[in-house]
Amino acid sequence: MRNYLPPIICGVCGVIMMLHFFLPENTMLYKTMMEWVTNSTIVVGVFGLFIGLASLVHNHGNRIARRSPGWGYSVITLSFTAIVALTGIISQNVGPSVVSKPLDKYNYDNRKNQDHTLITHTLFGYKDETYKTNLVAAATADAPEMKGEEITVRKVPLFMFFYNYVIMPMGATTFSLLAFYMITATYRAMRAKSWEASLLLISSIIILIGQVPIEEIPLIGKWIMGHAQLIVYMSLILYILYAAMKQFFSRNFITCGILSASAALIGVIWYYTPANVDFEAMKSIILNYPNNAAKRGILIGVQLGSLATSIKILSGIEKPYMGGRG
Amino acid sequence: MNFLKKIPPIWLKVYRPVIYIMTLVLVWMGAVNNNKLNLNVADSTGGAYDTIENLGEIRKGTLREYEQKLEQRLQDGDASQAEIDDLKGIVEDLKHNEKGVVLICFDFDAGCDAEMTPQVATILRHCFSRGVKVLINTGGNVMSQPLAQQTIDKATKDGSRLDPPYPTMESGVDYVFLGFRPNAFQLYLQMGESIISAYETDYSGKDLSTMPIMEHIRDFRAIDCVVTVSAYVGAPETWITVGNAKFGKKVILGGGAIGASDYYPFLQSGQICGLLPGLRGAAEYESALKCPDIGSKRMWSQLYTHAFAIFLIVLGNIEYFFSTKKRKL
Repeated sequence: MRNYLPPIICGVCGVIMMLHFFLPENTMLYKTMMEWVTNSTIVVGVFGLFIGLASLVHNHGNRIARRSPGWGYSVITLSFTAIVALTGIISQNVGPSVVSKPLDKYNYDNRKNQDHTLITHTLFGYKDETYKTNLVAAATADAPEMKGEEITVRKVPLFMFFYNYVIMPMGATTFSLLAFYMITATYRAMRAKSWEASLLLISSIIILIGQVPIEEIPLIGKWIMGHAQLIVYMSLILYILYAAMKQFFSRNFITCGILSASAALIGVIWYYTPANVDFEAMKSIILNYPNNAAKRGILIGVQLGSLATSIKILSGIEKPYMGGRG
Repeated sequence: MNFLKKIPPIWLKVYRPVIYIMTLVLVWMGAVNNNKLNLNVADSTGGAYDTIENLGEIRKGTLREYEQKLEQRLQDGDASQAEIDDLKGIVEDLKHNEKGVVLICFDFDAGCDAEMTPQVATILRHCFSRGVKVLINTGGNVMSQPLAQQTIDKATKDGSRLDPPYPTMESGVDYVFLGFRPNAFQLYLQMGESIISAYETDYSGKDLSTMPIMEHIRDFRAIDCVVTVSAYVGAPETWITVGNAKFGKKVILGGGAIGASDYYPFLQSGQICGLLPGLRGAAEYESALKCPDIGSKRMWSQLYTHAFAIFLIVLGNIEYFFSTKKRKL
């Protein structure tokens, strides 16, 4: 029974999920089926949450009990799991206070005389000049309508406090670090070491320029934007001619000839390129044609693979939900 | 050119901190730049803007379609009473909210806030300005909820800067924030049956069935367009499958600049009618709306860092080209 029942449940549920795309809507069968399937999966999903929590406590609890290397991190993980869960459960009226007053005398984001309120956390001290750092609280606190110079004090829920001052900055910091790694990677890794690398390099430069209004860069921005074709085509031609020259001195005359012909072909393409094709247009061409062709191929391949795997799972040939056994 | 053949050893030691500090300075320079940014609106963003702008027409088309369907079923005479009642109900629902109804799905967390929030904030303002009713939910990430609540709170009170301006929007009347429920795919399918039974209450715990906004929005058929702003791989596909393929609704997609390239095939095939690629998408949308905000402002930082990245690529290649010993990186 242990071996037969799970594949049967899996197969039946899978077939039901597939059928609902083909059954006519507004039929009793369709509605009953949908209701049953959606309710069941939501219930199962909630159980999944408990299993996840139990697994977290089990793994980190074991690490702490065994004093495994880095067990201190496990203590922090478990402590904050409990603290954040509790802050979500306790009353909305528990939390640090915020002080609100009209913002008419300040100029935030050039929006003078707008109906904005100045809100500061009492936790960090109530100072007028700290208002900018506390705008996150301002957005959250949902301050009531201000009347004149009236100052109000209200509570921010503790969960929102954690979210605004711990989770959001940490999430943003982790993601922001990527910018620094990426920008050093552009210097260290994006080099024209081969023909393929050069293609990647040129297309990435076009995308980088096309993604921003480069003409706004002082002194050279307008020139770059006005000479997009010259920059791209000349770079390509010069690079190919350089490669051809190297082949010539290595006495590979056929390769040299092919490369020279390629350079000439690029020159012809340049001649026939409309004058209004700038970096943004080139970016669109790259995204809409080579990118689309590659992505579509990958997507179709992945979906065919998923279909094959799904059929194997539904028919019980593969049983990943049973840990591969049976 | 001989000096280029040998890289000074000191540079190899300090280049990382130098690049980090320069990046930081450029980001800061962008953040304090308050000049107006001129941006061309790309077709992908324009498609999203036009869809929201023409929601009223789209709704009229849907209404005509259901009226014809009802007429056809009545003429055929083989339809059940339940089916006729259902069609009459949806025709009645579509006659209300004539400016359109949009479902906006938040599917990102704090890490992607800088790129995503400007997109969704400007779309929200656009909807409010045009009198479109807005349903807001969160996708697969429960941590999207507080971020969504903050963005909604800000957008509802931001009407004075738009043309036409709008008063402070009221929850339950002009918009409703549905919050999070587990199992996104199943949930979206259930929304096709009944939005009220899928969510029951809004984010603050108020009963959906008592809200005026939900009076004529029973299921997906009363929604004209789905906007999904997602930072996660695979999440937008769920909306493309459910929103577009199953329920035939217009889908607008907002994504990170890196992930957006994955969705151009869907744009070309017409499965999505608009795509906002990263911060640039948000800034373009703000330009189209003639209401520059934080998206346009943050583009300055992006502009300077992109220019710096290009400079570093050129510098790295010059160094590589002239170096006698091809350094292993």
